[in-house]
Amino acid sequence: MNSSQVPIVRKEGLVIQEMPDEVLIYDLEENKAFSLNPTAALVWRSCDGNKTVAEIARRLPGSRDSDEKEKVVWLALDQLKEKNLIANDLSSRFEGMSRREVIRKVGLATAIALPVIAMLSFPATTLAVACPASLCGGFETSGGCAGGEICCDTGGKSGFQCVSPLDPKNPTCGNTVPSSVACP
Amino acid sequence: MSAARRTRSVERITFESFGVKIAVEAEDFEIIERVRHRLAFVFGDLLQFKAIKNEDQKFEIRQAAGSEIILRSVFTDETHPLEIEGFEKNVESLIRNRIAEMASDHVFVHAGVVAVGGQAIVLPGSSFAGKTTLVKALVELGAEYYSDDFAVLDSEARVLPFPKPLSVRDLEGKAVTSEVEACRLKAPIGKVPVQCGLVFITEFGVDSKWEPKALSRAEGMLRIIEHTVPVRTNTEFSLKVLNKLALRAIIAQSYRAEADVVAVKLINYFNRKAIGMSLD
Repeated sequence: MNSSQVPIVRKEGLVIQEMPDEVLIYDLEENKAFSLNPTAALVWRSCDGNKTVAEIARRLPGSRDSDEKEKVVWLALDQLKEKNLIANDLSSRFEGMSRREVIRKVGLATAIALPVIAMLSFPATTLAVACPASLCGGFETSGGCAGGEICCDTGGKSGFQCVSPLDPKNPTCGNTVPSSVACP
Repeated sequence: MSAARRTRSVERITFESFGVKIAVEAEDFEIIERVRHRLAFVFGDLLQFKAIKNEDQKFEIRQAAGSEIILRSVFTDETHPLEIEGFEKNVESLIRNRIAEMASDHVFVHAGVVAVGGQAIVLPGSSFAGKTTLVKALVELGAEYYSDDFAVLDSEARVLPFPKPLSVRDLEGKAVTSEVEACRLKAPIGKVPVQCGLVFITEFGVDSKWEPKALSRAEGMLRIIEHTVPVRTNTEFSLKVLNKLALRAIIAQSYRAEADVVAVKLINYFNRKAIGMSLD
């Protein structure tokens, strides 16, 4: 039953950059970017609404074992689904199993490179221009603070300021300042 | 030609840089002149003072009580209180970031940039990455200076010069930075757009080992996107340009120790990669 499912990738609200073996996807709604390695990219490209999981599995190179290949496809599909990159409902072959268990189960058995989807998210406060005057009373150079300085709540009347993380006058602005307020 | 003009009520300068049109207004002639001088100092030929209509951004500056200046971004209605001492640096910094966000035909990536053999080495990085220090070390080895702040990419992913004065931390590690004008570096300054040969993502750490690792095109793009200013505001164009960049350039990463040591290793890495030798 699982292998007869027909996955369809989401296309709306995404900016997609194709490369020979890989894909880079930017989700405009979530402000997240994803890089898909060759195995994940092959599965992604195959999810056109016309192919079953079993058919997609047959497109994978490197092994003659169809069950092994299907597991790899499901590993990719689970990641794509989790990252909101699949448009339709799919019931996973691995439901109830942790990612670690699945990877161990599939990874040990297969000679195929496992699908990997790396993600980067862009919350507003970590944007390259995240530390303007609204956060930092004094912003010396681009991105908010001068090189080596951080944007930190000094507790003074000005609130957030660009300060040296090593300045003893700013005991609360040590290296433990969360990256979300560190100037880019 | 300066478009500064003196009126009884409002002083105003208007200018354009990378296609972004900006107006700055203040009640005080002295204030507006300080901003104009600062912009000219940092941007040089990359910013043209001229009369414009329909500005993309407008800022108002007014003096508040005591030693405070209020900067207001008119179109977004954000206000920023600033100390009067050195306020023009803060105003210029905000303007520079707005230009980086709004330049629709260019992609600004936070990075240090030098050129070696007619190809750019781009060093994306955050404030703590020490990119200015590394750029300075590379320039001292003979690389052409392009920028310590932004890799400015055109639609073909060529890297344009953005040779603003280098912001260098004092040797004692004080928070205050000094600025070194590009022309005082005693090194060549990039004048023309160049193709990018290497994007190197590196972060300083005291005990960090130099272990360069080449990244795949998509992995590399993901690392560059992290430092790309208009990725949210001009996503499609930004990614197209970065894809072209990643097609042509080697993208690699490593932690690093002291800049002067790593600069030599980086140039060797670049030269050997450029002639097709793998060092990974």
